[in-house]
Amino acid sequence: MFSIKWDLSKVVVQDLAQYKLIILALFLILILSFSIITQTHNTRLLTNNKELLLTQRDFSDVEWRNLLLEQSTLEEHSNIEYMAKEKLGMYRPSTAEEKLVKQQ
Amino acid sequence: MSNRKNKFQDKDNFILWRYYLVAGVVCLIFLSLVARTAYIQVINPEHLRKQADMRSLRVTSQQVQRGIITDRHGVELAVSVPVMAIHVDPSDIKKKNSFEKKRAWQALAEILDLDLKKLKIKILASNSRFMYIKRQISPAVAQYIDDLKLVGVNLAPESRRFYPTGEVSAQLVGMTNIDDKGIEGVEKAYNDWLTGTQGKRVVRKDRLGNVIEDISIIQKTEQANNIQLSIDQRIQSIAYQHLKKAVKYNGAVSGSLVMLDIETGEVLAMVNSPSFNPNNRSKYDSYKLKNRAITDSYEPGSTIKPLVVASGLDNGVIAPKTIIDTAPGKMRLGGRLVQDTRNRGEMTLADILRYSSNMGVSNIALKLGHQRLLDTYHQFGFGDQSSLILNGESRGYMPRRKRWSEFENATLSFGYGMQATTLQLAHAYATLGSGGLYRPLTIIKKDEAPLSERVLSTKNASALLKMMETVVEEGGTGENARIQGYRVAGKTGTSRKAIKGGYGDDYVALFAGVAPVSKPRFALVVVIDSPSGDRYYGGVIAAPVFAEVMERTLQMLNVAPDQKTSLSIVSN
Repeated sequence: MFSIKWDLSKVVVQDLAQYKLIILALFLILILSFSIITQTHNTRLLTNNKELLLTQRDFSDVEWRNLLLEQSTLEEHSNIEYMAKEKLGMYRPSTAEEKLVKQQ
Repeated sequence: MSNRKNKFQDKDNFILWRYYLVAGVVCLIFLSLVARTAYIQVINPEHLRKQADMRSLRVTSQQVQRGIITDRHGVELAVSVPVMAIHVDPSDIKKKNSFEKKRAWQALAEILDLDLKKLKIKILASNSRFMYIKRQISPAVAQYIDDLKLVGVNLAPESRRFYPTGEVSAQLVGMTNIDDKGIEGVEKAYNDWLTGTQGKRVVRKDRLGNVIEDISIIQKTEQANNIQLSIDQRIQSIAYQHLKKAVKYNGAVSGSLVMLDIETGEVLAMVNSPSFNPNNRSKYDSYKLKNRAITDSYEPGSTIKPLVVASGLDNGVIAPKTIIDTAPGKMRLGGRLVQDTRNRGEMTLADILRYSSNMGVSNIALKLGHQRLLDTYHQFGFGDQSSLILNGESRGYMPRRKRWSEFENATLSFGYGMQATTLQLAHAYATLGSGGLYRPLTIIKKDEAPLSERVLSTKNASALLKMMETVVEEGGTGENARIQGYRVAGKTGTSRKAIKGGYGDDYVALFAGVAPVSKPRFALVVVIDSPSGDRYYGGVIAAPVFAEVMERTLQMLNVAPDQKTSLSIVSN
């Protein structure tokens, strides 16, 4: 009885083979757990990214508003009229000088 | 196996109670761990959750800017830009000896242009936990202050309103107060529409302040709405220039001008002089804030005469060809005198308007009686508020009395004893120009023409326009309103300003008209209040402004001249 030579690795393999399903489940649990961890991490990264983009949008909006102001100041009618008159020597034609072109 | 069995059987080395003790202690430790875990996870999970949330949950708010006001072509009239407000917590500053950082405080005071000593005294004297020290500072300055890292000094976002068109549209667009609430003009009328709701939401932040999880929304962000006005800023700008010049040149107290689109009832321009710069609040006088085109009413004088003729035609009292005898150029009605500048004898309706004959219109008015005349005025919008919802709009004044003398009846026909605003007058002329269709006015850009109400037949309206055209012909009272190449119909007006107990020496000069007559597009009214020179007639003071503004508008909007055939070139 005591003289039986046990092959340890064989015993281990046999034991494992006996509980295939449980071991499979164990590995599944491990894989799933890790995937949950990575998923959460990815979600957080994406959320953070979205947040950054939103902040960027706000910054762009502010910049857009400032540019809008700058543009409207530059394109103010009296300003343009002044430049046309004084710098470019243009003038507004009177209606008498206008030529009417009719398209046929 | 044999080894194990040997050990078990080796009674010298195996003490049973010790074995049970160790086993028991190990079990106990595990049990207590399990119990603790169960307690934390199942029985009382809230405590730690709360602790975690306290360290990671944050409420963030999203600032919403007030809506943009633009003209009909999208030119910005009012834009909000975010700025910062600096506030301090005086008790925090005292408690933590914030003033020890002398250099930083000095820098703060310098960049904000404040006196450090005074600021210190003010802060030390205060027991509150909140105090503004400066509002509406630019983001760059705010960043600099943030970098100083002063204890008890905080920044809060707010926004500032800019008006790129400045004084040109100041009264119409209005303005907001420091808390971003509209207090005048369009800003006030459409305040709710222009204001959004600041959003608030709960997020989870990590150690570095990055948002890692959206938890919930406390308050939904509602973006503010923009408004597109019916105003054409180009016309507005031209109108303002010319009106300002006329008011200044004639030494007048004020002036206002309204231009309407006849086909849609949209307000294309509404300007007042004197005006103010809404971007610089440090120096404005409250009287300049008034949108005189709608708040001030005055007696319209002769500009009302076309409506008397309209009423006469509509009620069948007169026909377009009727000739009225105005000789001897004056008459007494109940002891009061009605007179023309000179006796012109028999006149056609066109002549009555052309020479602005009081006798002529009084004749028609007496035939009509006061009630029918008032009805016509009402139908053309006098005595009523327009459909613009701007604050401070006046209804004008229409007399309501039981007993009417003939004289009162007659004065009504040349625009005395009643009051109207510039806008009402423009509305009436737009109605004449549209062939008798009374359209509700709007300051907001409309894509389709609104429902209208017929108050005068097309035939009578066009006959009337032809008569009004003679006013601006050479020799008429409004010849200064003539425009090369275009047919213009209009009417001058000069009315004495009523003061306590009668009429004073001040006049109001008016000109109202429409163009081009063959297919009226624009109605324009110019009113100049109390010109100080010797010449105070509407035909001399208001008519030139009308001509310039109308001419450039027609030119700019490419309206084909309707009185110009010889110059046309035909291309293929």
